[in-house]
Amino acid sequence: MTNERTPAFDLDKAVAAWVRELRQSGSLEDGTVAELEAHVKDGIEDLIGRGKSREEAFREVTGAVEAPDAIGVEYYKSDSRGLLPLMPGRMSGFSPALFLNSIKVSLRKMRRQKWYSLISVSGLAAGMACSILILLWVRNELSYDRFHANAGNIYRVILEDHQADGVSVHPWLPFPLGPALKNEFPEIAAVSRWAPEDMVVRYKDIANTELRFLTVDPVFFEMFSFQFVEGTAARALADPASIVIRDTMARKYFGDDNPIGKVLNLSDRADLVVSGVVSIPDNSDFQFDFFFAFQSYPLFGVDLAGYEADWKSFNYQFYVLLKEGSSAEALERKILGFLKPRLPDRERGLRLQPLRRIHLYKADGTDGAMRYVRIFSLIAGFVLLIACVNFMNLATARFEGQAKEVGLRKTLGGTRGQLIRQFFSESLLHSALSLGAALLLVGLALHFFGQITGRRLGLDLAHAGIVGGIAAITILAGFVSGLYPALFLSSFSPALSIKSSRHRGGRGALLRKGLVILQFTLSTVLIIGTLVVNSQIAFISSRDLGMAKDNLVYVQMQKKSRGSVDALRQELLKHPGIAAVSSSSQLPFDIVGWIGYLDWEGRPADRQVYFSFMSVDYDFVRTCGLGILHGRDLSRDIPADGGNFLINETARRQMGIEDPIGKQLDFLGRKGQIVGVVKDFVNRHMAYATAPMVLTTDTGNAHRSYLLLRLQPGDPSAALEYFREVWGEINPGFPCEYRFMDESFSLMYGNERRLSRIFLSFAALAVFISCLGLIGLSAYMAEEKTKEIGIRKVLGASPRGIVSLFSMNFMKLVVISNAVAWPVGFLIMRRWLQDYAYRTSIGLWIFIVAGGLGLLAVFLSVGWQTLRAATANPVESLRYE
Amino acid sequence: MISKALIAASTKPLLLSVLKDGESYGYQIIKKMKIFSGGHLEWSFGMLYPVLHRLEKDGFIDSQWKPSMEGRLRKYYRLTAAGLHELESEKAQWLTVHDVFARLWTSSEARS
Repeated sequence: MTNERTPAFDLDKAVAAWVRELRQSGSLEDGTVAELEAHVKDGIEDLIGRGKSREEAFREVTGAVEAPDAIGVEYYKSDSRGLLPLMPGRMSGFSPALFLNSIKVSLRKMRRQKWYSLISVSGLAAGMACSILILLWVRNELSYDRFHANAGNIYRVILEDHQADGVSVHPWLPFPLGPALKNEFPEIAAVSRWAPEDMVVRYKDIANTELRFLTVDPVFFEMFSFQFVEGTAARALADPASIVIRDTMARKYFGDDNPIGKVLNLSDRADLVVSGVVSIPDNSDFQFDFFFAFQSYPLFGVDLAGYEADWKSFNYQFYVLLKEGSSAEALERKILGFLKPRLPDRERGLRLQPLRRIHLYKADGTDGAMRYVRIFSLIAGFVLLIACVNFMNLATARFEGQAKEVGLRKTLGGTRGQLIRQFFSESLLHSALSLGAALLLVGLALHFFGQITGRRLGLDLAHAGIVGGIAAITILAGFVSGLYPALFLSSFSPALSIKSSRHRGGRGALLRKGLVILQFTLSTVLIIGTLVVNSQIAFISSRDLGMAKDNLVYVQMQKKSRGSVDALRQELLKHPGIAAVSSSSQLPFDIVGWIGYLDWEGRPADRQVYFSFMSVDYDFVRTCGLGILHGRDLSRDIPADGGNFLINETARRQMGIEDPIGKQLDFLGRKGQIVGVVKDFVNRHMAYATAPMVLTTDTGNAHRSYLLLRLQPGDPSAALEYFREVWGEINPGFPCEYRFMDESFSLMYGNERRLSRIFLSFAALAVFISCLGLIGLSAYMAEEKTKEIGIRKVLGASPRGIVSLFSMNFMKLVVISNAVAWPVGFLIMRRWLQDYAYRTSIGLWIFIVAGGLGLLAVFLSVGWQTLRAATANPVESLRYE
Repeated sequence: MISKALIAASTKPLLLSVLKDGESYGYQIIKKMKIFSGGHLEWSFGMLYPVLHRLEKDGFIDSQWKPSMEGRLRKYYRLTAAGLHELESEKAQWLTVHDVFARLWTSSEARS
């Protein structure tokens, strides 16, 4: 008896359950449901009478009845005589008529509340403008060197140098590596070496020192797709006597003449014929003006064979083009140990860095420009969020009026979905209006923003990516601003929302407070960021450089003028305004490359130091204002000093010698004594620690590119005039382009300065937008509390008391914001500072100033609103009570 | 199989005709229709009741909840005077159409 196990079918219960379900579906009126119930019971009775079981009868009859929705539709069709095809409840998502109505209602609301609308639209416009600017900047950063046809197959070779004190990763490699790689690995289609240069360019009577020369292999222009304005990329540099110039240089030297075939003299050493004019887009890291081939070196009197055999000078970068379809990973595995047989002294690995990543990431794969892309995107998000919060806050604050609207709409049959749509179309309309204003602002600010970022940016509205990005920002802003009003305001029951509003404020007020805290937290973090970046810049500028950079003038010398240094010095020192003259192979604050092998007396076998080398003239220490810690300076009067050395403090420390004076040093086969230890001076960007270095006069004038002049304090003009005259006499035809050391030094920190200006602009914008919101909120509060203020005044409160009472509410929020923002700002900025070997400390004053600025902003924006309310005559405000 | 359009057009005259013989309720109407049409017309709930309600609104029929013999409540529908009049008018129209078809088809059959 299997039936015993299943409970007997209870028809009445089944029917009742079925009917209950019908009612719950909400599609049918009660009368219809009753009739349907009677119908089903008739059917079941009939079927049972014809011998079916109760269950079978139930299933058959109910199965024949359509779904409640479908029945509802039939009713609607027959009731409305088929004029409208669907029931209102089944209206498809979008109805143009309803949408227009939403817009109409939204516009009407904005007209009625001009003041609030102005605040939220202008705040949102400012926030969106900021996001759009950053979008343009980010897009530009991400587009670097992606336009080359071969961009996906070009890699830069990177060296991983395992030194005693860690791994140094950089792209500088020895000259013969390129051809060696090409010969060994068939998957490499082409290799171009790359080395920057500077030279004096002369054409007829125009002569300039040009700093942006690039020496490459002839295949360079076939690997990279730069556009040739004149000539062709193929074989542009095939002839060693040819040179390719940039379009801007063509205009500079040849005006409107055709540059092809014209001869440029380079540093009085070689004449090269212009074979092509190339245009370099802004979004390329190859910002060079002149390109010639290494194969031209013999024309300069340089022996190329010597370079081809030199595996010890790491002065060149290498770009390799892989054959289509070959794997960079596989090649990377193969070249990893390539240097070992050639340079067996220590571990050196080769890696490949994709061309597309070069602008954004450093050689070791960590964030380069990408870091700023991230930081700025985050800031843009912050500012946009702050602006959206304004809208949310004002929308919930104006809840009073809105609540009645919600109640009325619901009473008249509006569903929650419709209300949500209404609120979203309001916020989207806001953001669309703001977009108009934002685009205007972007147009106005683009030039300024281009200046502070150092990029030329355009608002190209025909570009799909930009338009898409702007549309995304607009929709995002509209959606985020509308989110809270839509979900919160639409949830109220009509009865509650039409009734008095007092008891409903709680949830909204709490949220408003939370949002204000969010706004001020973000603003305060930005203020802290600005202050830290500025204090780091101040730290760098004021740090003891170990060198007197003021009144120090330098001029870059070409080879021919290098021979005249002694004559120049003797003439120059005759002028009372010139205190000292020297020369050096590099600028003392910006040393690069030239890493040499160094051996010293008593060097432990396992100790190797990665030295920088500088060839200097006597008097270098005095001219640059360096300090001697131990021993003495190199002296012209001691003949042996021609082969002796100075080292810096860091070098001494890394060599591990307590007293290095008199110790023998072997530098690339040149032997001499260490005669002095120079007090450390900042010899490269402060992001990096001071490099250990060796100074020697040994290599003579030929290596020294810079003539250095120490001027007497005071007006330098007479001395400089004299300098120009003497230079002109001794080096006729060479331009005397002197620069001040302190100016060049501060140029080195352009990135930091730019960052500080960007931070400052955005922090100011964030505070401004937040204050706009507060003005709106406090105006609303003052309005709402008119009566309370009136009563307080009648009872004897002073305007000052009232202002402080109401400001206090907002002040509290700012205090909470600071409590959140301080640690957040501290952690973010500490992370930023960690990239600097020399960094300022994040002082407490920064937080106090940031907090104080926030409080001041709140006090000003809230204060004047409440003051207005507080000074009003209580008779006015209580008149209608 | 009778087309949807024809079913829609014929529901009203058919209902009025069924009710001409006296009051009836939904389930019974569907059953009668099935029998009279030899199973060709099988109305569902969703087809019948909305039309009944429409006809009631238009005043052609009226309705009343009454207990059945088993004691359950049922809604009975009954033709009104207006309904009777409407039925006559419908009948005339359908007969006209019917005559046209009859003549057309007999003459074309005679020709072929």
